[in-house]
Amino acid sequence: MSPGGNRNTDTALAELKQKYDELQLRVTRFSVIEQELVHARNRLDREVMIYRRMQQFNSSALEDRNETGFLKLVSESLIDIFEVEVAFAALEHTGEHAIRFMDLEGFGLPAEKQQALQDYLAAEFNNHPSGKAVLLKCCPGDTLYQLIPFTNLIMTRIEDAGQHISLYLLGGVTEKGSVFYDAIGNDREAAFSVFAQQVMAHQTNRAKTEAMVERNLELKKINSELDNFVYSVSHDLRSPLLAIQGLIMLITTIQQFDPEIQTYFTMVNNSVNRMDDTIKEILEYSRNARLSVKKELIDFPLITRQVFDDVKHLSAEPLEMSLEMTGTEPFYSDPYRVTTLMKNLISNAVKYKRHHDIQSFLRIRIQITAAEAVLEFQDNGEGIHPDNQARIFDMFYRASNSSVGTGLGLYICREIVNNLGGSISVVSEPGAGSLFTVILKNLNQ
Amino acid sequence: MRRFMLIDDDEIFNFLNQRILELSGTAGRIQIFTAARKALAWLQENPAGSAEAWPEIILLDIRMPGMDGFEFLEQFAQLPEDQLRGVKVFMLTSSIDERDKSKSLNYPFVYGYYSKPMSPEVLREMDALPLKKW
Repeated sequence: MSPGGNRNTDTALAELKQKYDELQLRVTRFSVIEQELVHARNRLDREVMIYRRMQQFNSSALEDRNETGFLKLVSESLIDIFEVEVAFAALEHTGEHAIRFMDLEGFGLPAEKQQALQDYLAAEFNNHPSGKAVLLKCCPGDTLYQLIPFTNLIMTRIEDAGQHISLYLLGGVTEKGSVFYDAIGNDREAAFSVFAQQVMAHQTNRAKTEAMVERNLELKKINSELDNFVYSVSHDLRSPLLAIQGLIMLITTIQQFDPEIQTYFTMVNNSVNRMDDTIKEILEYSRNARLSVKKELIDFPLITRQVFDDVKHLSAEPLEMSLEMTGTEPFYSDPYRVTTLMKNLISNAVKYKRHHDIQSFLRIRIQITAAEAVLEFQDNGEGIHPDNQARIFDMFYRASNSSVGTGLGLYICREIVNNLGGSISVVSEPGAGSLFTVILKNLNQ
Repeated sequence: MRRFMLIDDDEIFNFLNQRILELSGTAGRIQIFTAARKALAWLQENPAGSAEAWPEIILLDIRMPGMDGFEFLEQFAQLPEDQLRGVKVFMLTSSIDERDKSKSLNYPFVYGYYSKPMSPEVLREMDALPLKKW
């Protein structure tokens, strides 16, 4: 071997060694980086897990439960999310009662120590600003450590915006064997505060929902009381009227009077009938305004028959009525309201017939689809003057002087249609007849 | 000639119905009660085979103080079925609540639901209805 060759070999060896060292260094660096990465990934996993558990809490908290149930859920979630050993949650309602450390029993304390712990915590909570979580370290020999054998306590107090409620959260943890203590590092207080904010938001929502449910119940009760009241009043108002009707019927049955007296009796009877109609219509109006809409299968032919039987006595001269149905879809709506609507329209056709000169008719056509029912009421009655057509659906508006209207019938029809979803309209020619068209939504969904 | 029982707290209606019955010539015995409880007691105290025969037609008001028409129907339904089968009960009321109508027509012995006042035509209608088999 030449000396030059030796030198070359030495150089090559030296380079090799240098490269090797560099490589070693890199390997070491890489393994450090790898370790860091593993740590980072673990931390990330834990954070994702915490996030998932918080999500879990959020969806559970939406379920309906009372305050005790809610606080129990919060305590359990604290243990679950932050992996503390013992947790408790409490609410203080301003002016109602002092802090109830309701779950302190979970700390497994003898009764004599409970009061001491409560006093300690109450003072501690007041020392820290609202909404900020604090981690207390307690070493053997400390007051707190003597009360509860944890090396760490995490706690927060938070007030709602209106400062009517204060929320207290507390978790206890022992340094050894706690994932919480080892792993989360500086973020744990922040995470605890965030969780506390969430709990508070849920509590505020719960209070609002509760108040709304209560208000709803109250309204329902008032509605039903009002309905009973209107019903009683209408019954009590009708009774004497019906007695008058009966007495007139009896008088005219017993004795034939001369035509003039007979006319007076008819007039008394008509007035009584009209007052009775008004009372019935006020009841109908009141019911439509307040009773909830029931969805039932509507039997139009049956309703039409019943209504026609009820109203045909309104006039001595006969009215020819026909019903034509098309469409096979089942139609769902509120039977009471549909009946009232049809009764008002059919009785109008009876009341506002033209007299003597023609055969009066009412042709009802009903077309049902999955979406709606179109009801047409075509009569050849006295009709409505164009000037009045726009106002006939108004309350107490009467377009005709010829009969015994109350001015409520068509108004109630419009209200019912608004309630059930749909529309009502009229095409009419004085002296020729009217066509009322009602469209009702099919409440089949 | 039929036996009637009229139950209404309002004496004017009892009087009216009594007169309509008398004028119609269909009524034999007419019993009048202003309290449903007393009417029920009478029916309970005079079972089949006793001296007094049950009415064939009962006209019953709904809204009454004390026992109302529905409570009467409920108690009436507890009486021996053989006897109930021979009676036609008609609701005669100033109620216009559809629920009252369907509620009362659920009883097999309730044959009709009429608005007050009862006219001679309505009476003929009631009288003509044959007894159901149930």
